Amino acid sequence: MTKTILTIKDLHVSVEDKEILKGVNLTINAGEIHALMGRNGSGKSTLSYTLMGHPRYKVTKGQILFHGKDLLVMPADERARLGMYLAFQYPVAIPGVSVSNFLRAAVKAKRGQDVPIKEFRAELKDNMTKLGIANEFLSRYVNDGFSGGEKKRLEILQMALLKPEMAVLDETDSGLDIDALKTVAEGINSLASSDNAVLLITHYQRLLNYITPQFVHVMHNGEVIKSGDSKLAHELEAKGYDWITQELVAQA
Amino acid sequence: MSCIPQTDLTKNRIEEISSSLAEPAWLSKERRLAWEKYIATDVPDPKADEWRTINLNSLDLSKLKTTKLNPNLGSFETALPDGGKLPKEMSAALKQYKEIAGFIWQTEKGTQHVYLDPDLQKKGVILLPLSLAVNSHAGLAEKYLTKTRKFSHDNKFSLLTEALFNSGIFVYIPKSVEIEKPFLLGFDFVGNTCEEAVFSRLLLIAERNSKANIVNVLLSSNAKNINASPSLSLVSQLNELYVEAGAKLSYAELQDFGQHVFYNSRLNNYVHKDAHVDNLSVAIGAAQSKVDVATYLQEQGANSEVLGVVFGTANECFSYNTIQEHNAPDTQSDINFRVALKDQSKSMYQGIIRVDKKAQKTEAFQSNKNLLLSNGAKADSIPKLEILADDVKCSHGATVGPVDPEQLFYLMSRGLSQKEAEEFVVLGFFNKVLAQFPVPHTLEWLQGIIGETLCTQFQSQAELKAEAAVLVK
Repeated sequence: MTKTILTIKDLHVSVEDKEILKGVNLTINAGEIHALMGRNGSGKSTLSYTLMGHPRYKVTKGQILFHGKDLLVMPADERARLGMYLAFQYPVAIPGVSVSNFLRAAVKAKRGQDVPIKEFRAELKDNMTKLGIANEFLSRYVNDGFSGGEKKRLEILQMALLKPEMAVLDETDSGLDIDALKTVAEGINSLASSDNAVLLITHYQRLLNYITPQFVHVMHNGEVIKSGDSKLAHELEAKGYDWITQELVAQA
Repeated sequence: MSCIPQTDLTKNRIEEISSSLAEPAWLSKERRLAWEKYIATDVPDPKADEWRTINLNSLDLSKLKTTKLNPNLGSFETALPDGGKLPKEMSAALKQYKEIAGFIWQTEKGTQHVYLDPDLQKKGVILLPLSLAVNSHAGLAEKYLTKTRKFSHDNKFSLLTEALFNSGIFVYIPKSVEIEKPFLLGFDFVGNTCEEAVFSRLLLIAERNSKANIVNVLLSSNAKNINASPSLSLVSQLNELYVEAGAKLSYAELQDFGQHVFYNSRLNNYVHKDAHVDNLSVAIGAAQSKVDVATYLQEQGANSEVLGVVFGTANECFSYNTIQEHNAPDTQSDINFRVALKDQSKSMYQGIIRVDKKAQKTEAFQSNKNLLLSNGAKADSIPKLEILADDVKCSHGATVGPVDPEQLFYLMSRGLSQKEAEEFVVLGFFNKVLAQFPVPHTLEWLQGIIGETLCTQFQSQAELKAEAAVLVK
């Protein structure tokens, strides 16, 4: 039986009174990997921030439901504790806060209780090895002076520890060299299971060589204008985005 | 302790103090000279940058009574006190540092406990209440205490402190003695309901090529039991650090006085050839705090690092003035000062860099960052450069602003509540400075103290909001 995790219905979102999303519809079930593609400025990142509850993004119409619960009434921290996760395209630095303190606080918040330090260390170590993260990483300040690749690895490390039901990965592939891309993709693949779902936001096919989504959606001008299976991503790679928009014009 | 009536801050008090402590004649003379300067100095101009955040009306000099020191109080102990019997800041320090070179615990009534590692005593290290040291080590005390007046300043309270000090500590590190474990000094302003004045001096001498670490804790352990009076008690300090050629001295100060205290402090660092001084000033208490930190780089190769962390709450007012005075070539000074303010608290930071004509190849840097955690909080930052040499590297930078909403969103997107997220950002903001102080365990100790203060502060704010919400319903 399919279990629906996330339902987005006719979502309209404005930033500073400018409408960016103009009626997005999307349903994501447990066990599914969705890719959301589209050009820069099509509204992909707006969708990811809105899903997580960034106060700058005002929902003017529509619904976001998580297991049928209305997410729009909740601040970001409540959504996170419920099982939403956003891997940021540009994770912000928190100078003076060490990665280990931060991870421990996040895990405590998500699981609702302190994790015994030994257990936490072991879990951390295991995930860090998988993602090729050095130990000295833990004593550094969160994203402070990190390279692009280090930031993305930290985003995936957090995902591994927080075990979200619904993970939104915003351009996680950007700025990664080929080795880092492989490691990060392997990390995502190993975390995807029949109990959770992943929404990959990207404008390249590159990441999709390593992660195979069941569904691919194309976003244009604040709407999802085409959906298909993984073949659609290859088609986009070969033909670019123009043919879809032309198709749209022809239909109209 | 008794409170004596009206206008206690007089020249006559000098003779009373001097005779009650059986002080040598040269010291009485120094006190009188300071008194003359005090009389000749204008009262603070409430509109001047360094005073305008301070509520001078909260202090009524005519009502202040000086506390009477009992020189016979206190005992020389062969061990440290039981941490459990000390205020939490002190017991936390004892726990964190584990090994302590020397310990002095004073209140305005007098010295309570003195301990010095016997091995260090054998090496000639001295740790004494200042009132005893001026007699027992008169030569040293005279040599250094009479130097003060050559460094002119016009802080009226500091001049008053020179004239009327009735409390203090003397620390002497002999030539080439290097001590890693810190000295822990503590002053508890026990206070009572009458407006009191405590004047104290700290004299630290690090002789050539010596090394020492000093941690000074200032607090009022029973502040909660004191009813806020419209006019405050005064704690005024004059602290002097003599860092002789090649010596390395680190000095950290935690100020956590209660809301009944007007705190005035002047810290003078005199740094000599190739010597290095580190200062860390942490302020989380007192209703009014006026603090001057002056670094005099007196000889070639002298260098200094001055750090500051201020966390203001309620209606607290802070005015911090740093002075980096380069009087010799090839000298370096670096200042990193961070302030976070909640509620209606206010802060003024004024940073002065002075470079003498002969101080070529000076490097002087200054950074001041202010975080505003509420709409009612206010921070100001004024750099002042007086550079007479032409071959120098100087820079200054200041920022004032709220917590970055993107940082809060990032932390909240990981499940942390807004309160936890704010705490994290503020602690991180302070950590960047605290981590620069080189004495091991200081970071952990202060993180604990500041973390606890932050936690209760943010808690109380969250509780207030919850209460307000209930009232609205």
